[in-house]
Amino acid sequence: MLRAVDWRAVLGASAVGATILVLCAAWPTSGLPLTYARLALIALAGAAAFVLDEPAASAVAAVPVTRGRRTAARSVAVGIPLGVWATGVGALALRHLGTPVRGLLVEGLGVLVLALAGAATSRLAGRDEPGELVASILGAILLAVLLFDPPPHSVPLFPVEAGWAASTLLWAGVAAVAGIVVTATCVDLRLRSWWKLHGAAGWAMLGA
Amino acid sequence: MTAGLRERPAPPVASVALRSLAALEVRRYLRSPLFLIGVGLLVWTTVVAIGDFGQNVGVTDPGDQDFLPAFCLGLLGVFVGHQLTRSLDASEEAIGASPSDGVRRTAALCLACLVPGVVALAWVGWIYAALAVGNIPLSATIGAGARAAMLLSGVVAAVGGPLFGVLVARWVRFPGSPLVAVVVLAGWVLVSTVALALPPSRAGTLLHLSAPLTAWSSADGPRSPAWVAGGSPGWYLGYVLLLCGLAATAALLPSATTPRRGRLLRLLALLGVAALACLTLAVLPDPVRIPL
Repeated sequence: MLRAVDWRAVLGASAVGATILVLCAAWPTSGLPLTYARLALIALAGAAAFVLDEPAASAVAAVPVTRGRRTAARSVAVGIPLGVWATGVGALALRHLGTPVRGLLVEGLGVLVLALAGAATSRLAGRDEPGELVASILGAILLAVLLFDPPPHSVPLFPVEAGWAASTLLWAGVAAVAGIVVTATCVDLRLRSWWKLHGAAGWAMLGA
Repeated sequence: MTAGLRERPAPPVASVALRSLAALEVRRYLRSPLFLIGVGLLVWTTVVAIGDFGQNVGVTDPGDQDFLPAFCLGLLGVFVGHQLTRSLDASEEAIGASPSDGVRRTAALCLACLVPGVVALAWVGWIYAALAVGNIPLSATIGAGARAAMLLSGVVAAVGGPLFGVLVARWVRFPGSPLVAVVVLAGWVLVSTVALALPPSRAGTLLHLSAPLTAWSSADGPRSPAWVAGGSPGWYLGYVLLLCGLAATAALLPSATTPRRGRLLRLLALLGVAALACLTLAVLPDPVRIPL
């Protein structure tokens, strides 16, 4: 099922992110180039958004494999942008002592799972190739937040000096909620209609 | 009556077709959700920025607000220009039978990219009105003409973004290409700001001004006095205008047939040389930084 992933988009956007991260690690600067590194994260989010694209949707629909299994198999491909981000953060940590590794890793995880959740939701809504749309919208939002740093500043989305603990907590929450959304969109349609029919009472009966 | 009809010259068919196609594309641009979001974001950020004008006297110049239309209309416009161009692909077969060729359709798209420019021009008017109404003192370091050129470069960036989107859609058939284009553009602008942290030099000014958008005032630290970077805002405005011309001409190339292609290539070379000349002239003035 991984063969069906649009690798041109996933690997292409991951390569752009990797290039930016290599330049960040190699750049001869005393400070941590966080803005540039986060620019790479936007490209990597774009790669994650393309993981669930199904160019041959009509052919795949005839295959007796549930949406859940397909999504689970394809989600493995998010490992590529995630791996690029983790390696990049590691390289930055080697170059700049005091790099908030944990904070950046959780931030990257949150952004990538958010992209995946956006794609999964869009697929559920009937769009077979949600990558372009989700990558555009998420990319524009992330870039706006990165450049304008909108309020409230009590919980910084992309901290530079202070606020790493709050930001890490926030991105961990985003990753968890986005993960739940991805799982919810995978639930088999039959199970969902059963739940619609019987609701909580059905579960109670099963328990009894 | 026949003589009267003969006297009135008929409008050329090509220009009439281009005008009606451009009108259609303008309507599509105006309906684009991302453009409307960008306009909303521009209004909101400008209201916030105008509120801060009084507090920021001596720290930054209103001329540096050019990044607002550049982001809200230009950078988001890359997605709009790309999406409008790619959406034409679906109707390629139907339109292919009509007398309108690919060059004309792309030219109409390029004309529609003037829509964010008109909005950005109105934004410049708003900034000047806010400066006049608020009686905000302006730094004498930056002349009125230079400040106008700085603000107008934001208007040009608002047009340039969508044009770049059309260019990418015409040349690259790569999924995710608009996002990559946006990241590359933002990266180019961010890299150019590195020059502001370097000691003043012509090479530094060249790096600073080569980007399609630039900040003119900066400071050595959070508590240090602000200064204005070297370079000519007027020639820089010419440079970014020519970059727009380059993007539009390059976008027309893929659908052009042999004789027209040759003319477009010559125009592209001419615009490229002119852009380099403008950039050189923008870099030529003394690179020394002047206190704001």
